[in-house]
Amino acid sequence: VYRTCLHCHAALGANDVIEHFPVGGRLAYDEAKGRLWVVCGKCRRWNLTPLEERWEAIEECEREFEKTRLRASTDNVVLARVRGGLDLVRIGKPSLPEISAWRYGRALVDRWRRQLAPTAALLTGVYGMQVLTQAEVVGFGAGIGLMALFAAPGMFSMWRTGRVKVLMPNGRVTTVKHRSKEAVALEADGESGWTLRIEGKDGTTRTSGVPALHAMRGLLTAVNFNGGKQADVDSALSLVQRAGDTSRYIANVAAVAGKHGSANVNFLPPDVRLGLEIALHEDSERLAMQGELGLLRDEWQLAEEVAGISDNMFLSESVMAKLEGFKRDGGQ
Amino acid sequence: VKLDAGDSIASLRTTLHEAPPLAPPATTAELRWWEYTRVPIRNRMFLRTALPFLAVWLVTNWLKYSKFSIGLMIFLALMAAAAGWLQWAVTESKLRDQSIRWKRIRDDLNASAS
Repeated sequence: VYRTCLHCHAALGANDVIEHFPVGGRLAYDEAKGRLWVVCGKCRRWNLTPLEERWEAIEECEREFEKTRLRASTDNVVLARVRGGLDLVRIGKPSLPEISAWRYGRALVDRWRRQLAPTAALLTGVYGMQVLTQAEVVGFGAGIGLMALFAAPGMFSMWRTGRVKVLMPNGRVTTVKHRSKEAVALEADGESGWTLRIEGKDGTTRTSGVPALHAMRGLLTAVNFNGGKQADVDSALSLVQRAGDTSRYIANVAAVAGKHGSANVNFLPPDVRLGLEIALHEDSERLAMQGELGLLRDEWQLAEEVAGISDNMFLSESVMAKLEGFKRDGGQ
Repeated sequence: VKLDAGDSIASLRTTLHEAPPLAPPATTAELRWWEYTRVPIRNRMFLRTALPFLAVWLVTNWLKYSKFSIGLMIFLALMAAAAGWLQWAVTESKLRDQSIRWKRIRDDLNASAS
Protein backbone atom coordinates (compact mmCIF):
# COMPACT_ATOMS: atom_id res chain seq x y z
CA VAL A 1 0.00 0.00 0.00
CA TYR A 2 2.73 2.45 0.93
CA ARG A 3 4.17 3.37 -2.43
CA THR A 4 3.40 7.07 -2.77
CA CYS A 5 4.68 10.14 -0.94
CA LEU A 6 2.08 11.65 1.39
CA HIS A 7 3.11 15.14 0.39
CA CYS A 8 3.92 15.29 -3.32
CA HIS A 9 2.34 11.97 -4.39
CA ALA A 10 5.52 10.91 -6.18
CA ALA A 11 6.45 7.21 -6.23
CA LEU A 12 8.67 6.37 -3.26
CA GLY A 13 10.67 3.77 -5.17
CA ALA A 14 11.71 0.37 -3.93
CA ASN A 15 14.56 -1.45 -2.24
CA ASP A 16 15.43 -5.11 -2.16
CA VAL A 17 17.36 -4.93 1.10
CA ILE A 18 14.69 -4.65 3.79
CA GLU A 19 12.49 -7.68 3.34
CA HIS A 20 9.73 -6.45 5.66
CA PHE A 21 9.59 -3.02 4.04
CA PRO A 22 10.73 -3.07 0.39
CA VAL A 23 9.62 0.53 -0.22
CA GLY A 24 11.85 3.60 -0.65
CA GLY A 25 15.48 4.35 -1.42
CA ARG A 26 16.10 6.10 1.88
CA LEU A 27 14.67 4.93 5.18
CA ALA A 28 14.95 6.66 8.55
CA TYR A 29 14.32 4.87 11.79
CA ASP A 30 14.32 5.40 15.52
CA GLU A 31 14.83 2.08 17.23
CA ALA A 32 14.07 3.35 20.72
CA LYS A 33 10.71 4.85 19.78
CA GLY A 34 9.86 2.27 17.12
CA ARG A 35 9.43 4.76 14.29
CA LEU A 36 10.14 4.16 10.64
CA TRP A 37 9.95 6.77 7.89
CA VAL A 38 10.41 6.63 4.12
CA VAL A 39 12.20 9.71 2.78
CA CYS A 40 10.73 10.85 -0.54
CA GLY A 41 13.37 11.14 -3.27
CA LYS A 42 11.52 14.00 -4.95
CA CYS A 43 10.40 16.38 -2.20
CA ARG A 44 12.73 14.97 0.50
CA ARG A 45 10.02 14.86 3.11
CA TRP A 46 9.73 12.11 5.67
CA ASN A 47 6.71 9.80 5.51
CA LEU A 48 5.97 8.03 8.78
CA THR A 49 4.84 4.46 8.22
CA PRO A 50 1.77 3.21 10.04
CA LEU A 51 2.96 -0.39 10.02
CA GLU A 52 2.04 -2.62 12.91
CA GLU A 53 4.88 -4.93 11.92
CA ARG A 54 7.41 -2.10 11.72
CA TRP A 55 9.53 -3.66 14.46
CA GLU A 56 10.76 -6.39 12.10
CA ALA A 57 11.64 -3.78 9.49
CA ILE A 58 13.45 -1.66 12.08
CA GLU A 59 15.42 -4.66 13.28
CA GLU A 60 16.40 -5.42 9.70
CA CYS A 61 17.46 -1.80 9.20
CA GLU A 62 19.59 -2.00 12.33
CA ARG A 63 21.25 -5.23 11.14
CA GLU A 64 22.07 -3.67 7.77
CA PHE A 65 23.28 -0.52 9.48
CA GLU A 66 25.69 -2.51 11.67
CA LYS A 67 27.23 -4.09 8.57
CA THR A 68 28.22 -0.86 6.84
CA ARG A 69 31.07 1.52 7.49
CA LEU A 70 30.10 4.15 4.97
CA ARG A 71 28.63 6.68 7.36
CA ALA A 72 28.20 10.38 8.00
CA SER A 73 26.98 11.58 11.35
CA THR A 74 26.23 14.31 13.85
CA ASP A 75 26.09 13.49 17.58
CA ASN A 76 22.88 11.47 17.41
CA VAL A 77 21.89 11.10 13.77
CA VAL A 78 23.84 8.83 11.42
CA LEU A 79 23.44 8.43 7.67
CA ALA A 80 24.71 5.16 6.22
CA ARG A 81 24.68 3.76 2.68
CA VAL A 82 24.10 0.03 2.69
CA ARG A 83 24.17 -2.50 -0.14
CA GLY A 84 21.87 -1.95 -3.10
CA GLY A 85 22.21 1.83 -2.80
CA LEU A 86 19.76 2.02 0.11
CA ASP A 87 20.38 4.92 2.52
CA LEU A 88 19.57 4.49 6.19
CA VAL A 89 19.19 7.37 8.63
CA ARG A 90 19.54 6.11 12.18
CA ILE A 91 18.10 8.35 14.88
CA GLY A 92 19.66 8.16 18.34
CA LYS A 93 18.61 10.54 21.10
CA PRO A 94 18.86 13.87 19.39
CA SER A 95 17.72 17.21 20.76
CA LEU A 96 14.84 18.87 18.91
CA PRO A 97 17.06 21.33 16.98
CA GLU A 98 19.34 18.49 15.86
CA ILE A 99 16.55 16.27 14.58
CA SER A 100 14.81 19.25 12.96
CA ALA A 101 18.02 20.27 11.23
CA TRP A 102 18.36 16.73 9.84
CA ARG A 103 14.77 16.30 8.85
CA TYR A 104 14.00 19.70 7.42
CA GLY A 105 17.10 21.85 7.18
CA ARG A 106 18.99 19.93 4.53
CA ALA A 107 15.89 18.94 2.62
CA LEU A 108 14.58 22.48 2.34
CA VAL A 109 17.94 23.97 1.39
CA ASP A 110 18.48 21.16 -1.14
CA ARG A 111 15.14 21.95 -2.72
CA TRP A 112 16.16 25.60 -2.99
CA ARG A 113 19.46 24.66 -4.65
CA ARG A 114 17.77 22.26 -7.03
CA GLN A 115 15.67 25.01 -8.65
CA LEU A 116 18.77 27.08 -9.49
CA ALA A 117 19.67 25.03 -12.59
CA PRO A 118 16.30 25.36 -14.42
CA THR A 119 16.13 29.04 -13.46
CA ALA A 120 19.63 29.63 -14.86
CA ALA A 121 18.68 27.80 -18.07
CA LEU A 122 15.54 29.92 -18.39
CA LEU A 123 17.47 33.18 -17.97
CA THR A 124 20.19 32.04 -20.38
CA GLY A 125 17.53 31.27 -22.97
CA VAL A 126 15.77 34.61 -22.64
CA TYR A 127 18.89 36.78 -22.58
CA GLY A 128 20.65 34.63 -25.19
CA MET A 129 17.80 35.06 -27.62
CA GLN A 130 17.74 38.80 -27.01
CA VAL A 131 21.48 39.14 -27.66
CA LEU A 132 21.65 36.91 -30.73
CA THR A 133 18.61 38.41 -32.46
CA GLN A 134 19.58 42.02 -31.68
CA ALA A 135 23.11 41.36 -32.97
CA GLU A 136 21.55 39.74 -36.06
CA VAL A 137 23.62 36.60 -35.50
CA VAL A 138 20.47 34.51 -35.87
CA GLY A 139 17.05 35.34 -37.26
CA PHE A 140 14.06 35.99 -35.04
CA GLY A 141 12.60 32.52 -35.62
CA ALA A 142 15.86 30.79 -34.77
CA GLY A 143 16.16 32.99 -31.68
CA ILE A 144 12.73 31.94 -30.50
CA GLY A 145 13.67 28.30 -31.09
CA LEU A 146 16.88 28.72 -29.14
CA MET A 147 15.04 30.38 -26.27
CA ALA A 148 12.46 27.58 -26.21
CA LEU A 149 15.27 25.03 -26.06
CA PHE A 150 16.88 26.63 -23.02
CA ALA A 151 13.65 27.70 -21.36
CA ALA A 152 11.89 24.34 -21.67
CA PRO A 153 13.37 22.73 -18.49
CA GLY A 154 12.59 25.82 -16.41
CA MET A 155 9.09 26.20 -17.83
CA PHE A 156 8.38 22.51 -17.35
CA SER A 157 9.66 22.66 -13.79
CA MET A 158 7.43 25.66 -13.02
CA TRP A 159 4.42 24.02 -14.67
CA ARG A 160 4.96 20.77 -12.80
CA THR A 161 5.53 22.26 -9.37
CA GLY A 162 2.90 24.98 -9.70
CA ARG A 163 -0.02 22.56 -9.58
CA VAL A 164 -1.07 20.01 -7.07
CA LYS A 165 -3.92 17.55 -6.69
CA VAL A 166 -6.08 18.13 -3.65
CA LEU A 167 -8.86 15.93 -2.37
CA MET A 168 -11.94 18.07 -1.73
CA PRO A 169 -14.31 17.26 1.15
CA ASN A 170 -16.97 16.19 -1.37
CA GLY A 171 -14.64 13.44 -2.61
CA ARG A 172 -13.58 15.16 -5.82
CA VAL A 173 -9.93 15.58 -6.68
CA THR A 174 -9.15 19.12 -7.74
CA THR A 175 -6.09 20.45 -9.48
CA VAL A 176 -4.93 23.58 -7.76
CA LYS A 177 -2.77 25.65 -10.04
CA HIS A 178 -1.33 29.08 -10.73
CA ARG A 179 -2.95 32.40 -10.02
CA SER A 180 -5.71 33.86 -7.83
CA LYS A 181 -5.83 35.65 -4.54
CA GLU A 182 -8.11 33.94 -2.10
CA ALA A 183 -8.86 30.56 -3.63
CA VAL A 184 -7.25 28.64 -0.78
CA ALA A 185 -7.11 30.25 2.64
CA LEU A 186 -6.07 29.23 6.13
CA GLU A 187 -8.57 30.38 8.75
CA ALA A 188 -8.58 30.34 12.54
CA ASP A 189 -11.17 28.10 14.14
CA GLY A 190 -12.02 27.97 17.83
CA GLU A 191 -12.52 24.21 17.99
CA SER A 192 -9.83 22.61 15.85
CA GLY A 193 -7.46 25.59 15.76
CA TRP A 194 -7.60 26.04 11.99
CA THR A 195 -9.67 25.25 8.93
CA LEU A 196 -9.00 25.44 5.23
CA ARG A 197 -11.30 27.47 2.99
CA ILE A 198 -11.31 26.41 -0.65
CA GLU A 199 -13.17 28.35 -3.32
CA GLY A 200 -13.86 26.10 -6.27
CA LYS A 201 -16.45 25.59 -8.97
CA ASP A 202 -18.96 24.33 -6.41
CA GLY A 203 -18.63 27.44 -4.25
CA THR A 204 -16.84 27.93 -0.95
CA THR A 205 -15.93 24.85 1.06
CA ARG A 206 -14.49 24.73 4.56
CA THR A 207 -12.69 21.64 5.71
CA SER A 208 -10.83 20.52 8.82
CA GLY A 209 -9.36 17.29 10.23
CA VAL A 210 -7.71 14.71 7.98
CA PRO A 211 -8.97 16.13 4.63
CA ALA A 212 -7.73 19.62 5.62
CA LEU A 213 -4.40 18.20 6.76
CA HIS A 214 -4.02 16.32 3.51
CA ALA A 215 -5.08 19.28 1.37
CA MET A 216 -2.77 21.62 3.26
CA ARG A 217 0.17 19.28 2.78
CA GLY A 218 -0.51 19.22 -0.94
CA LEU A 219 -0.76 23.00 -1.10
CA LEU A 220 2.41 23.54 0.87
CA THR A 221 4.18 21.06 -1.39
CA ALA A 222 3.45 23.37 -4.31
CA VAL A 223 3.98 26.67 -2.47
CA ASN A 224 7.22 25.56 -0.78
CA PHE A 225 8.45 23.34 -3.57
CA ASN A 226 11.59 25.38 -4.02
CA GLY A 227 12.42 25.07 -0.33
CA GLY A 228 14.28 27.97 1.22
CA LYS A 229 17.64 29.52 1.88
CA GLN A 230 19.49 28.51 5.03
CA ALA A 231 18.48 31.74 6.80
CA ASP A 232 14.77 31.15 6.07
CA VAL A 233 14.98 27.54 7.22
CA ASP A 234 16.73 28.58 10.46
CA SER A 235 14.08 31.25 11.06
CA ALA A 236 11.29 28.72 10.38
CA LEU A 237 12.74 26.25 12.89
CA SER A 238 13.10 29.03 15.43
CA LEU A 239 9.47 30.19 14.97
CA VAL A 240 8.13 26.66 15.43
CA GLN A 241 10.30 25.99 18.46
CA ARG A 242 9.38 29.30 20.05
CA ALA A 243 5.68 28.47 19.74
CA GLY A 244 6.46 25.44 21.91
CA ASP A 245 3.87 23.23 20.26
CA THR A 246 3.27 22.50 16.57
CA SER A 247 -0.54 22.63 16.83
CA ARG A 248 -0.26 25.96 18.58
CA TYR A 249 2.03 27.26 15.86
CA ILE A 250 -0.47 26.37 13.11
CA ALA A 251 -3.36 27.92 15.06
CA ASN A 252 -1.26 31.05 15.72
CA VAL A 253 -0.37 31.38 12.03
CA ALA A 254 -4.04 30.96 11.04
CA ALA A 255 -5.10 33.68 13.50
CA VAL A 256 -2.30 36.11 12.63
CA ALA A 257 -2.56 35.56 8.85
CA GLY A 258 -6.29 36.33 8.87
CA LYS A 259 -5.71 39.47 10.92
CA HIS A 260 -3.21 40.80 8.37
CA GLY A 261 -5.07 39.83 5.20
CA SER A 262 -2.67 37.00 4.36
CA ALA A 263 -5.04 34.05 4.70
CA ASN A 264 -3.78 32.78 1.34
CA VAL A 265 -0.65 30.88 2.37
CA ASN A 266 1.20 32.31 -0.60
CA PHE A 267 1.11 35.78 0.97
CA LEU A 268 2.83 34.58 4.15
CA PRO A 269 6.55 35.25 4.70
CA PRO A 270 8.71 32.39 3.36
CA ASP A 271 10.00 31.38 6.78
CA VAL A 272 6.46 31.26 8.22
CA ARG A 273 5.35 29.10 5.26
CA LEU A 274 8.28 26.74 5.77
CA GLY A 275 7.47 26.68 9.49
CA LEU A 276 3.91 25.72 8.61
CA GLU A 277 5.17 22.78 6.56
CA ILE A 278 7.40 21.62 9.42
CA ALA A 279 4.62 22.05 11.99
CA LEU A 280 2.03 20.18 9.91
CA HIS A 281 4.49 17.37 9.48
CA GLU A 282 5.31 17.13 13.17
CA ASP A 283 1.68 17.55 14.20
CA SER A 284 0.37 14.66 12.15
CA GLU A 285 3.15 12.42 13.47
CA ARG A 286 2.43 13.47 17.02
CA LEU A 287 -1.23 12.47 16.57
CA ALA A 288 -0.16 9.17 15.06
CA MET A 289 2.20 8.48 17.92
CA GLN A 290 -0.55 9.24 20.42
CA GLY A 291 -2.22 6.10 19.18
CA GLU A 292 -4.24 7.53 16.33
CA LEU A 293 -2.66 5.30 13.70
CA GLY A 294 -5.98 5.24 11.89
CA LEU A 295 -5.44 8.88 10.96
CA LEU A 296 -2.09 8.06 9.42
CA ARG A 297 -3.53 5.11 7.53
CA ASP A 298 -6.31 7.36 6.20
CA GLU A 299 -3.69 9.79 4.94
CA TRP A 300 -1.72 7.07 3.17
CA GLN A 301 -4.95 5.77 1.68
CA LEU A 302 -5.81 9.25 0.38
CA ALA A 303 -2.31 9.70 -1.05
CA GLU A 304 -2.57 6.37 -2.87
CA GLU A 305 -6.01 7.17 -4.26
CA VAL A 306 -5.01 10.65 -5.42
CA ALA A 307 -1.86 9.23 -7.02
CA GLY A 308 -3.96 6.53 -8.68
CA ILE A 309 -6.26 9.15 -10.15
CA SER A 310 -3.30 11.20 -11.35
CA ASP A 311 -1.83 8.11 -13.01
CA ASN A 312 -5.09 7.12 -14.66
CA MET A 313 -6.71 10.42 -15.55
CA PHE A 314 -5.29 10.50 -19.08
CA LEU A 315 -6.37 6.95 -19.92
CA SER A 316 -9.67 6.31 -21.65
CA GLU A 317 -12.36 4.02 -20.24
CA SER A 318 -11.59 1.34 -22.84
CA VAL A 319 -7.87 1.32 -22.02
CA MET A 320 -8.67 1.08 -18.30
CA ALA A 321 -11.07 -1.82 -18.97
CA LYS A 322 -8.37 -3.62 -20.97
CA LEU A 323 -5.82 -3.12 -18.21
CA GLU A 324 -8.29 -4.50 -15.67
CA GLY A 325 -8.83 -7.48 -17.98
CA PHE A 326 -5.07 -8.10 -18.22
CA LYS A 327 -4.80 -7.96 -14.42
CA ARG A 328 -7.61 -10.51 -14.06
CA ASP A 329 -6.07 -12.84 -16.63
CA GLY A 330 -2.68 -12.65 -14.97
CA GLY A 331 -1.10 -10.81 -17.91
CA GLN A 332 -1.99 -13.48 -20.50
CA VAL B 1 -15.75 8.13 -1.30
CA LYS B 2 -16.01 8.13 -5.06
CA LEU B 3 -13.10 9.95 -6.60
CA ASP B 4 -12.73 11.35 -10.07
CA ALA B 5 -10.38 13.66 -11.87
CA GLY B 6 -12.55 16.65 -10.94
CA ASP B 7 -12.30 20.24 -11.98
CA SER B 8 -9.53 22.67 -11.34
CA ILE B 9 -9.41 25.87 -9.35
CA ALA B 10 -6.97 28.70 -9.60
CA SER B 11 -4.74 29.33 -6.67
CA LEU B 12 -1.04 29.36 -6.14
CA ARG B 13 1.99 31.46 -6.99
CA THR B 14 0.43 34.87 -6.71
CA THR B 15 2.60 37.83 -7.59
CA LEU B 16 3.64 40.83 -5.56
CA HIS B 17 1.12 43.01 -7.37
CA GLU B 18 -1.75 40.73 -6.42
CA ALA B 19 -1.15 41.07 -2.69
CA PRO B 20 -3.97 42.73 -0.73
CA PRO B 21 -3.42 46.37 0.35
CA LEU B 22 -1.77 46.94 3.71
CA ALA B 23 -4.35 47.51 6.43
CA PRO B 24 -4.04 49.43 8.68
CA PRO B 25 -1.63 51.75 6.83
CA ALA B 26 2.03 51.81 7.82
CA THR B 27 2.84 53.74 10.97
CA THR B 28 5.65 56.27 11.28
CA ALA B 29 7.77 53.77 13.18
CA GLU B 30 7.24 51.15 10.46
CA LEU B 31 8.17 53.64 7.75
CA ARG B 32 11.33 54.48 9.67
CA TRP B 33 12.10 50.75 9.90
CA TRP B 34 11.56 50.46 6.14
CA GLU B 35 13.95 53.32 5.40
CA TYR B 36 16.66 51.25 7.04
CA THR B 37 15.55 47.83 5.75
CA ARG B 38 15.09 48.82 2.11
CA VAL B 39 18.76 49.59 1.39
CA PRO B 40 20.00 46.02 0.72
CA ILE B 41 16.74 45.13 -1.07
CA ARG B 42 17.05 48.19 -3.31
CA ASN B 43 20.72 47.48 -4.06
CA ARG B 44 19.98 43.88 -4.94
CA MET B 45 17.07 44.77 -7.20
CA PHE B 46 19.09 47.52 -8.86
CA LEU B 47 21.95 45.16 -9.66
CA ARG B 48 19.65 42.38 -10.82
CA THR B 49 18.07 44.71 -13.35
CA ALA B 50 21.01 46.88 -14.36
CA LEU B 51 23.71 44.22 -14.78
CA PRO B 52 21.82 41.92 -17.18
CA PHE B 53 20.70 45.01 -19.13
CA LEU B 54 24.28 46.19 -19.45
CA ALA B 55 25.57 42.70 -20.29
CA VAL B 56 22.97 42.11 -22.99
CA TRP B 57 23.69 45.38 -24.77
CA LEU B 58 27.47 45.10 -24.43
CA VAL B 59 27.55 41.58 -25.84
CA THR B 60 25.12 42.56 -28.58
CA ASN B 61 27.34 45.47 -29.56
CA TRP B 62 30.45 43.31 -29.51
CA LEU B 63 28.87 40.64 -31.69
CA LYS B 64 27.58 43.19 -34.17
CA TYR B 65 30.49 45.65 -34.47
CA SER B 66 33.45 43.95 -32.71
CA LYS B 67 34.45 47.22 -31.05
CA PHE B 68 33.57 49.45 -28.11
CA SER B 69 33.70 53.21 -27.74
CA ILE B 70 33.90 55.11 -24.47
CA GLY B 71 30.82 57.13 -25.43
CA LEU B 72 28.78 53.99 -26.01
CA MET B 73 29.97 52.46 -22.75
CA ILE B 74 28.91 55.54 -20.81
CA PHE B 75 25.58 55.66 -22.61
CA LEU B 76 24.87 51.97 -21.88
CA ALA B 77 25.91 52.34 -18.25
CA LEU B 78 23.53 55.27 -17.83
CA MET B 79 20.71 53.36 -19.52
CA ALA B 80 21.35 50.35 -17.27
CA ALA B 81 21.28 52.58 -14.20
CA ALA B 82 18.05 54.14 -15.40
CA ALA B 83 16.52 50.69 -15.92
CA GLY B 84 17.57 49.70 -12.39
CA TRP B 85 16.09 52.84 -10.83
CA LEU B 86 12.90 52.51 -12.86
CA GLN B 87 12.40 48.94 -11.72
CA TRP B 88 12.85 50.02 -8.10
CA ALA B 89 10.50 53.00 -8.49
CA VAL B 90 7.75 50.79 -9.91
CA THR B 91 8.09 48.11 -7.23
CA GLU B 92 9.02 49.94 -4.04
CA SER B 93 5.56 50.70 -2.65
CA LYS B 94 4.42 47.09 -3.09
CA LEU B 95 7.64 45.75 -1.62
CA ARG B 96 7.30 48.13 1.32
CA ASP B 97 3.74 46.95 2.01
CA GLN B 98 4.82 43.32 1.77
CA SER B 99 7.81 43.78 4.04
CA ILE B 100 5.74 45.63 6.65
CA ARG B 101 3.02 42.98 6.50
CA TRP B 102 5.60 40.22 6.94
CA LYS B 103 7.15 42.08 9.85
CA ARG B 104 3.75 42.43 11.53
CA ILE B 105 3.08 38.71 11.05
CA ARG B 106 6.46 37.72 12.50
CA ASP B 107 6.08 40.13 15.41
CA ASP B 108 2.59 38.82 16.21
CA LEU B 109 3.77 35.22 16.00
CA ASN B 110 6.65 35.92 18.36
CA ALA B 111 4.35 37.82 20.71
CA SER B 112 1.79 35.00 20.79
CA ALA B 113 4.57 32.47 21.45
CA SER B 114 5.95 34.26 24.49
